[in-house]
Amino acid sequence: MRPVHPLLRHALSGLAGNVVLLAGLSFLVFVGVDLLPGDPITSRLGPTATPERIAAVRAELGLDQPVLTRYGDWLAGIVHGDLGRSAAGQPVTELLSGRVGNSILLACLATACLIPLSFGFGLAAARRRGRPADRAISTGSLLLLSVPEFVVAGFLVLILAIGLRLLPAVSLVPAGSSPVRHSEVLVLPVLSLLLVGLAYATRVIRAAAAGTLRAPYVEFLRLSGQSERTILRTAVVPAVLPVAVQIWLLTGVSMIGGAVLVEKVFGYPGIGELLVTSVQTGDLAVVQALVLVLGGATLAVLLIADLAMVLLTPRLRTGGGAE
Amino acid sequence: MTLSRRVLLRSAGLGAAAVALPSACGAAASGQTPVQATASATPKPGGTLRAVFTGGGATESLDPYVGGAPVDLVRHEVMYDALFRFRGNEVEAALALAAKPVAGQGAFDLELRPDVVWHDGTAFTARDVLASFAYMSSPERAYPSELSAYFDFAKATVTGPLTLRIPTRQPIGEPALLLASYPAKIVKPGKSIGTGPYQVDAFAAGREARLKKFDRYWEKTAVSDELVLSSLTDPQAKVNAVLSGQSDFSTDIPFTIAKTGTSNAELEIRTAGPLGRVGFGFVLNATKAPFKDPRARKAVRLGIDRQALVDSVLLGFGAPGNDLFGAGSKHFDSREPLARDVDQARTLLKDAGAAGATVVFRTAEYEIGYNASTQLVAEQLRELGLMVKIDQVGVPEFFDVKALGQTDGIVFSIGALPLPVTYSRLAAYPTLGLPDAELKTALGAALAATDEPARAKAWATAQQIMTDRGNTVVWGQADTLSIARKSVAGVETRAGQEKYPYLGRAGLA
Amino acid sequence: MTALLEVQNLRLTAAGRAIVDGVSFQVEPGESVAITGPSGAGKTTLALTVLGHLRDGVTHDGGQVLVDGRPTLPQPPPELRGGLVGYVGQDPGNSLNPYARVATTLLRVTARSVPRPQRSALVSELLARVGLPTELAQRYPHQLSGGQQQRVVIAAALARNPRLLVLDEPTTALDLVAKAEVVAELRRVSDAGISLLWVTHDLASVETVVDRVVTIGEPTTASYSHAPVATAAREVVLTATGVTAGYGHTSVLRAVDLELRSGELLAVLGASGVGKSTLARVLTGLHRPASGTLAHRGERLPWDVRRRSRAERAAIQLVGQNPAEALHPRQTVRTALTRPLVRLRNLPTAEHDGEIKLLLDAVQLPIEVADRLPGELSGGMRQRVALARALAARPEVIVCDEITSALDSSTQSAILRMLDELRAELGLAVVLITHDADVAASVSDRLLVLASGRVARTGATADLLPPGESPEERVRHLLIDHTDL
Repeated sequence: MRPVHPLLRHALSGLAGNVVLLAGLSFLVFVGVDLLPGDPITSRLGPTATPERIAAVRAELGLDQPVLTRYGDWLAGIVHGDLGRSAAGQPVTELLSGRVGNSILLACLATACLIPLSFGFGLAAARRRGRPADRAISTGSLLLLSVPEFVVAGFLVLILAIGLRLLPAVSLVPAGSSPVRHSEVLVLPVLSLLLVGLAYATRVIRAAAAGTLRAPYVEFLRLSGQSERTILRTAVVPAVLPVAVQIWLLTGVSMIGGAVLVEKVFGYPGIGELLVTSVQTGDLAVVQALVLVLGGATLAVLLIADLAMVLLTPRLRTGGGAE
Repeated sequence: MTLSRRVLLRSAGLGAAAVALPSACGAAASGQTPVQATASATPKPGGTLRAVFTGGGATESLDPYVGGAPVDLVRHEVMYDALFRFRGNEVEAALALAAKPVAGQGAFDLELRPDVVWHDGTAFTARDVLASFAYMSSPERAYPSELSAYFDFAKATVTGPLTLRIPTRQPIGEPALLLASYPAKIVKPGKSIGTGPYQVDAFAAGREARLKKFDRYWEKTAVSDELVLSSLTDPQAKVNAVLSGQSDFSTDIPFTIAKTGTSNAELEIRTAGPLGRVGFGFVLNATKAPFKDPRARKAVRLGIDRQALVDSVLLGFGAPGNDLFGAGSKHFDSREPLARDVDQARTLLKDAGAAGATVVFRTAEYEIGYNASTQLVAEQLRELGLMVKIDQVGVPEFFDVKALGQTDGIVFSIGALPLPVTYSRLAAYPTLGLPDAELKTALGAALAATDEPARAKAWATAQQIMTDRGNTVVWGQADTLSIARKSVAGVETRAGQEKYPYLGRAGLA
Repeated sequence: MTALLEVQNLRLTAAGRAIVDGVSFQVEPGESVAITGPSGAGKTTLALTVLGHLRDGVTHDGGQVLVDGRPTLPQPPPELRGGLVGYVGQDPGNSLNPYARVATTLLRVTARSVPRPQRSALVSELLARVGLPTELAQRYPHQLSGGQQQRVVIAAALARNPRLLVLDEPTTALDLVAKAEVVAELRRVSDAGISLLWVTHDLASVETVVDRVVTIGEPTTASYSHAPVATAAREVVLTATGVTAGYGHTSVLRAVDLELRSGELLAVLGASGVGKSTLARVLTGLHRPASGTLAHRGERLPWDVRRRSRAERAAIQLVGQNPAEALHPRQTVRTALTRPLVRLRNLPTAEHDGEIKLLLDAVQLPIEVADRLPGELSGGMRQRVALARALAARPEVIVCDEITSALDSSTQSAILRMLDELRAELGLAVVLITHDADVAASVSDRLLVLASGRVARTGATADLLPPGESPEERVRHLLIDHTDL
């Protein structure tokens, strides 16, 4: 059981660290959003409201308490699963519930396609380093990297949805249903997210694989008569996996909140769009809750990526060291 | 009177300030003139009409006193009735048949329509109206109704099964006009049922609402069996929905998209006509120098180049304005706009002692074009010797009270709302109204007038004052454009409600 | 009988220069041949052609290599690599797949699918062939010692029972004890009838195993040795007292005392893992000992290099064993040499070029080397660059950690001669850490033998290693004597 122990310890300490980080993040978010310009009370009631009315509403909403007290109340609420109420009075948990799932669906689908494609392209390019296929893949990925996601999305809509009428231009999902049951609305948003992430992941995997293919132990395997396919499978893939897993996880989690512009172009009901509208309208409670959720998700995924790295590298997994 | 920022937003036009994707690649026919499809085609009964409007995301609601995005408002118009409503420019009876002021009592009697049924089958009575009044004016509402500034709902009484008496806070000559101008839907508090031609079948906030025809509506004018209202926040996405056939109709599309037009033979670009025009302009702060002096204000109005603004900001979709808000509404003074006269403007500025002065104009991109118009006006005023410093802020903080007091001019726009609404909203903000005793008298007289000639005279006086020494600089009247399938018919634009047309009589021809 | 291996007039070029020019020789079945020559003579390149492999940039310009009558260039016959000819490289740590356990690597190398029940038996057999216990089978390469790794590599090379084994300097990266194990192993392999083609610069260890020696390039020069310098009268430059150091809970050095005088060369000898490298790192301030003191010309020195002043840092320099890892692969030689000139001597930019020329001259490298990347240089040249970099700081003490073990004898001699000249000119004091008793015997003035972390013997070389006896034997006796005590 010895090899598991350091891993478990690592995981638990990482988890504890994440909780501390998350608490710190929540404080920064709460106070930071609070400091945004504009006073929600006077903007709601207008300039001609009497000072007594303003004070009454402020007390009613609990906004006359000092920041720290409000922060404490908010934290207490979170522990009970209550994320507060939006400016219009709806419970934030309700606002978030369907949308978080939708955004995660988008991110998961895009990542699921990202994994085999980036791996395949990256390895193919590394094996044919310097030859036309490699040049094509490298140049193509560089071009895609330089183009913002929403421009990619816009072009896809123009060509595939409006021009060729193959797919819907907007993710109009009927009320009461979910995107899963209308999978055709998912294709273009997933494709937009996928293309840009693919470019980056392919380049990283290509670099790692190219480096590994020049390693002495790969040369030794070749000189021992192993076939290229065996070498790829047994020597290159395990060396590239730790880096690749990191990239995939990080790209995946950044897609959840970072798909804002893609969600906007397609009108996809996710949290990216909710985040933008709440910031624009100054809806503090929603912004605070969203940043907390996104921050927590990112930290969790970073921890998983860290552990995956250790698991996939024998030297780290066995605690390292020789003799 | 209380004026909520949100209502001001509504009159200034709620718009999602998003990037309009240049669709130059795909579409062809540029310079296509928008068609004004009024009552040209008659919609066929039955079928489903799908329309997409600007949404408010997850904050949309079936409660008419909560949701305020255009898609909410479209939905509310067909789900709920008000006591009075507009047909074109005229007020007509809806749930109420008449509102007669009671002489000497400071109140008016409201007579309701008989044989009206709620969506759940129960009968509509005066008690329901009382409950609605209480609900809409309750301080618990995020934005309590502005009508409570005119009517004392707390003291309203039911005088019969279909009659009420409502006291007023000031002399009101035409209560029906006010009841039609301000959103005052009759609801059963807490439930999403109304008396309108359509009832809700399914609703997902931020996504779509499906409404089915209510067969027991008191007016037999509903055409389509089903209305599907989709909600999107990105203007380009709205247009794409129609272009790709996922929706039949969308309104309030950006001028850039309308300019490129569409090559699809089944679709066309439409304009909402004069009732759907929005006056774009600035309101100058007349409470502090230099615009405290009417000569400086006149100088600004003489110094701007209206046609240039219409061409570059509105891309030609509209007409130059004559510095008065409310074009298209009843009693509007549609005189010719002032011609540009830079020399006279310079002279006026010098007389006012404001030559070479620096002024601050506050702007934010509420509507597409606000910031561009401010930039252009600043350049034009520079020729007068007036230095304009542009204070560009974000949308949520635009109407910050303190900042409004310190700025010299802010960007503003109002649609073809009835004049009483326009002027009372301007007067509500300390720095937007004109501090002029004569104007105040004229406005009061216009509200109190009990007959048409008196009302017309009062409004003429008020607008004359504004023309002589007013602080509103309305440089253009912008069209409201929409993209629709050619077979969509029966869409009604009501005065001042250009972003949320009435679909109660709409369908496919 | 056709020769097992026949090299006919082989000519290989790289970048226009001929690396191997008209080499011819033969290896009969069952015969073992050593290939020797100075560094850069193309021994490795030649050995790789036997397997039909040309490194990047090398072109086959003429001649042919025939194994069992069939040519290996440009493409070897399918069964050649691993089947007919096995390969054992120089650096075992880098030859084994770090992601696979020993058992997995061995099974894969057999290149046939072995049914599950027979797998562990096969692995045990392969390991037993090289004298390794079965429990090593489930370990990863980084969990084995250098000698064990190299023997696993040999087991892998022998897995398919090849008739010829190509060995490229298989013992250079190993310490005394491991080297002895591997050499013994290879002797057994040779006795079993498998031919060996052994590339080496260390003829001494190979003599007992091979039948013939083929020399490529210039003949090697005699080993350098010098007359010991009387240093008793010189001043003490470095004193370390009671150094106790370790890693975590493991204690490596125990109460080690060391005294160094200016101009003298102190050789530190011991088996691998005894703490010689630790001592080097402690002296240069890269490893903090648990206790002890260090003094430079009587002044206390902080243990942590970060807390030493610039002058103190410049005074003690380190040259490590593996210059490939010590030199930044992306920096030219010029950049590497400039860094200490700027950081430790604060030399104005105008003087840099002149100084770099001086340094390269001192280590006998042409000035063209300055603009090359380390990857483009041979092992010996890299080591000289590392030495030049250490000298750039104008140190008083240089600690050399196994700098000659990866070099052929002529390069080794050259470097040792260089060190001697620098000692004479600059009064440089050198701590030479090595496991090679011959080197220690030939150049050092004083000797410090470490065993079990303690100082086993220390004294003048002349006294501890009297001429006439084989230094290796003598050192082994010294070590064993101590452990018996």
